[in-house]
Amino acid sequence: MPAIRIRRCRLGLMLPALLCLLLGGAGRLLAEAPQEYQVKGAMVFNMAKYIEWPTGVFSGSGAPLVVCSIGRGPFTGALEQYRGKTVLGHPLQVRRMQPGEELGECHLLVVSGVEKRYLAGILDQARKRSLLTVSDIPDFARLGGIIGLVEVEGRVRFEINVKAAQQSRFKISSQLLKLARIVREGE
Amino acid sequence: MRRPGEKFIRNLPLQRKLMLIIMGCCTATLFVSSLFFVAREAKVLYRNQQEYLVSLADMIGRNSAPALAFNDPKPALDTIRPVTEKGNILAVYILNKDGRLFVRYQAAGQVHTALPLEGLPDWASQDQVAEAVRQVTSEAYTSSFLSGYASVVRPIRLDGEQIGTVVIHANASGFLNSLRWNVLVALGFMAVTFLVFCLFSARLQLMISAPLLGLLAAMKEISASKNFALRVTKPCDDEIGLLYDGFNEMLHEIEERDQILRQRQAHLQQLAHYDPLTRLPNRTLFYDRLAQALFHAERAREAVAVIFIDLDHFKDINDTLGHRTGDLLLIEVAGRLGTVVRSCDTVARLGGDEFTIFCQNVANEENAALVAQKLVALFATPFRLGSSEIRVTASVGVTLFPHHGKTVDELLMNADIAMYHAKGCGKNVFALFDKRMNEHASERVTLLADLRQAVELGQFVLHYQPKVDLLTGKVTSVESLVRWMHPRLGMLAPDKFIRLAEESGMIAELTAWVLRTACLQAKAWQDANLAPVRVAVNLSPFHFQRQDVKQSVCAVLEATGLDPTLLEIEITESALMQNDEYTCRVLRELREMGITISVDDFGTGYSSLSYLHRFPINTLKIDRTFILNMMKSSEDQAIVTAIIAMAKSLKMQIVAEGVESVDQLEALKDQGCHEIQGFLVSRPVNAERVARFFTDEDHLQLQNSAAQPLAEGTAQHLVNGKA
Repeated sequence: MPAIRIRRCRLGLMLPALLCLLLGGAGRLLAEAPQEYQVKGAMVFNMAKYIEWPTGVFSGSGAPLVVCSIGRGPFTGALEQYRGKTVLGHPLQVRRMQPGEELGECHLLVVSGVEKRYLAGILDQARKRSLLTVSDIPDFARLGGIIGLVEVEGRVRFEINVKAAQQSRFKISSQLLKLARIVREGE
Repeated sequence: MRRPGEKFIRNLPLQRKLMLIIMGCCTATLFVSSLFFVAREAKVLYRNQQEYLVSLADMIGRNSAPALAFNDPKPALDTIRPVTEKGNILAVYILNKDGRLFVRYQAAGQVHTALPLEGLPDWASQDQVAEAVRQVTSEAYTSSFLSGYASVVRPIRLDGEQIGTVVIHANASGFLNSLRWNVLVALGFMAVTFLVFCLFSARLQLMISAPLLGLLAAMKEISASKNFALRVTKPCDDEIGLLYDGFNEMLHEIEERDQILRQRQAHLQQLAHYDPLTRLPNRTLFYDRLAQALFHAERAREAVAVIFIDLDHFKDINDTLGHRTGDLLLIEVAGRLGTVVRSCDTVARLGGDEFTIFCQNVANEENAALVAQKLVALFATPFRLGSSEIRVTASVGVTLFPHHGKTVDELLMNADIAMYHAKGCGKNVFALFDKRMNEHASERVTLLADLRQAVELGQFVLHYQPKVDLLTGKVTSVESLVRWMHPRLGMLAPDKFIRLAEESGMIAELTAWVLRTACLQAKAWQDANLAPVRVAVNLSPFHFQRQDVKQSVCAVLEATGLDPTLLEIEITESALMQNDEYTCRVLRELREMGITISVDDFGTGYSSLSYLHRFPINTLKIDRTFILNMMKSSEDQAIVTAIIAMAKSLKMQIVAEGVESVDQLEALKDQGCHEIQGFLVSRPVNAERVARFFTDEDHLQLQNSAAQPLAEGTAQHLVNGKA
C-alpha cells in the first residue's frame, strides 16, 4: 500500500509527504494493512445506516444487527471495534464465520479474502437469506454481490449492484447511491 | 458642587423651564422606547437571519453527511454549490470528524478576507481549525453588526453521532440594511414626535405658566399704578387659584391699610394746620397764608388788613358756665366770623378766645374799619347755646400792611396792641392801630418789668377798709387792699396792676406777700390788745388753679401765729365756680379751721344760685354797682332785696359794698342787711389809721351825726365819693 500513501501526499503538497516518508519510515509501513481495513470497516458501519432491511428481518426495534465476516484477512478485526455500537437503533454484533457455516442469523455479510471459486456459493446462500453482502473483492458487485469496495484514485469507493439489492428486497438510500458507482451483474 | 448648567436652567423663564421639563420627559421616554424597539427589531432580524442560516447549515449538513461518512468531498461540494448560488452566502466549510477541513467553498465574487477559516490552509491542524471555529462561534453576534458577515456553526450528525461540523458565513448587509432602515424610521418618528411634543408642550405649559404670568402682570400693574383697589380673577381652583386668592387678600389688606394711612395723614394734616375745635386754620397755617398774602400784596402794591379779635370776659364765661359752654361759644363765634369775610380772606384761631383775620386787597383804612365794624356788629345778637342765651362782646384791633408793619410778626403784634387799646376803651369796639398805641404798650411792658422787682424792693403797702355791723355800729373786720408805691408813677390801685400780675404769674408772690403782711398786722393788733377784728384777704382765682390754697394759708398762719378765726378769705364768684370740687373741699377745710369765707363782688358773675348753698360760705358781699344804682333804679333795688333775702334764708351774712350815702345806709338797714363797707364809713387807709376804728363805739351813729371822733379822712372821702 505505500503507493497509495505517496499518491495521497501528492494530492496535497509534495514536501510534507516526503518528510512523512523520510521520518515515518519503516514503522508506518507495518501499520499499513490494518489502516486500510479500518477505513473499510468504517465504511461498512456507515453504509449500514443508509440501508433499509426488508421488513421482518429484525425481531424488534432493539434487536441486534448481526454482521458476519467470512474469509481471511484483517477485515474482521477492523469490524470488531464496532461491536456494541448501534446502527439505527440496532446494536451491532460481529461474528466470524467459516465458509460453509450456516448464515441463518446474519443480516450483513462481509466477504474478504475468499477465493473466487467459493464466492458463488456464498453469494447464493446470502441471496437466499436476504443478506446484505459487502466485499473488497474486485468486481464483487458484478459477480452478484450487493456492495463492492473498490479503490479509485487511492480512495476506497464502492459499487452497488442495485438489481441484486432489489432482489434481496433491500432499500438503499439515494444519498448512498449518489456516492456509489452503480453496476450490473456481468458487466 | 454645583453643576455648570444648573444656574442657567434655574434662571430660565418659567415657560421655557416647563417646556424643557415636558420635552425632556417625552424625549427620554421616546428615546428609551425607540431604543427598545430598535433593539428588539435587531434581535428579531438577527434571529431570522440566524434561523435561515441554521436551516441552511442543517440542510447542507444532512446532505453532505454521507459524503463525510464515506470521506468523499466531491459530492459534498455538489450539495453545497446549488444551495449557495442564490442568496448572500459568503463561504461554507465542512469539517470532518477529526476537526480538519473537509470541504471549503467560497462564493464567487463575494470575497471577504476577514473570515477566520479562510486564512487556514487545507491541511491546517485540528487545533488551528478548532481555534478558528471557536472564534467564529464567539464572534457570531458581533461580527453581524461590525464585520458585516453572519456566521453559523452546526454539527453534522449521522444516526445520533456527530460526524462533522458545518460552518456558514453569510453576508450580513441585508440584515444591516434592514436594521439601518429601522433605525432611520425610528429617528424619523422621533423627529416628528419631537416636533409634535414641541407644539404640544408649548400649549400644555400654558396651563401652569399662563395664570402665573397673569398674576405677575397684575402685580406689575398694581405696583406701577399703586392702585390697590384692583383685583385679579382666579382662573382655576388649584394651588394657583389659592395663590390668586392670597394675592387678593393681601391687596385687600394693603388697600385697607393704605386707606387708614391716608385718613391718618389727612387727620395729621388737619391737626397740624387746623384748630380741632373750630376747624379754623391754626396759628401755623395762618402765619403761612399771611406770609404768602403779604408777598403777593407787596408785588401788586396792595394793602392787607390784619385783624385781631378777642372776646371780652370770655374767661368769666369759661369759669362760670364751664369749659364745655366756652367751647361751644367759640364754635359759634368762629361760624359767625366766617360769614363776614370774603373767600380770599382767612379766619384763624390763634388759641383761647383770640381770633385773627386777614383781608387781601383792602383799598384803604376806611374799608378796613368797615370790616372791623361789621365784626363788632356780629356780637350784637346773643349766642344761643342750647337752651341758654349768652351775650358776649369782642374787642377788635386792626392793622394795615404796609402802613403799620411789613412782617407777619409785626402786624400781628400791632393788631394785638390795637385790640388791647379797644379793650381799654371799654370793650365791644374796634380800634385802628396807630403809632401812639405802641408807646402805650411799651409803657405796659415797662410796668411789668417794674412789677417783677416791686416785691423785693418793698414797694407794696396794705391799706385796710373796715366793715361795720349795721346793728351795733362796730367794726367787725377790715378788708386788706394792696397799693403799689411806684417810684415814678406814684401810688397805683390794684386795677392798674393786678391783671398784669395775673398775666405774668406774679400774682402768687404778691398774694403770698399780702396774706403774710395782713396776718402779721392782725397779730400785731391782737398783741396790742385791741378789740378782735378780722382781717380779710382777697384770693385770686389763679390760686385755686394752682391748688395750693390751703398749704399757703396754713403756712402763713403757722408762721405768724394768728388765730384762724381772725382771718377772712375773700374770693370772687368766678373763682368759686371754677374747679368747684376742689374749691368746695378747700373752703370747707379752711372754714373748719375757723376761717371766715366771703364771696366778693357778688351778683356780677354767672353764679348758679342752685348750688351756692353747697359751698361753705359765711358772707356774701353785694357788688358796689348794685348799691350805687339802688336809689335810682328800682331793678337794682329789687336785686339787692332778692340777694339779701336769699342770703338770709341760706343763713349767710350780707355785706353791702361801696355804701357812700346815708340814704343807701338807711335803705340797706331796712332790707335787713348785716354789714356795710364803703366810703360812708371809711376809705381804705393804712394800718395805723384803721386801728382807730377798733373801739366799741357805734361808728354809724357818729357818722350820722357827723361827730368828731370819726377820722377826718372819712369825712373827706365822703365828699370825694359824692364828687
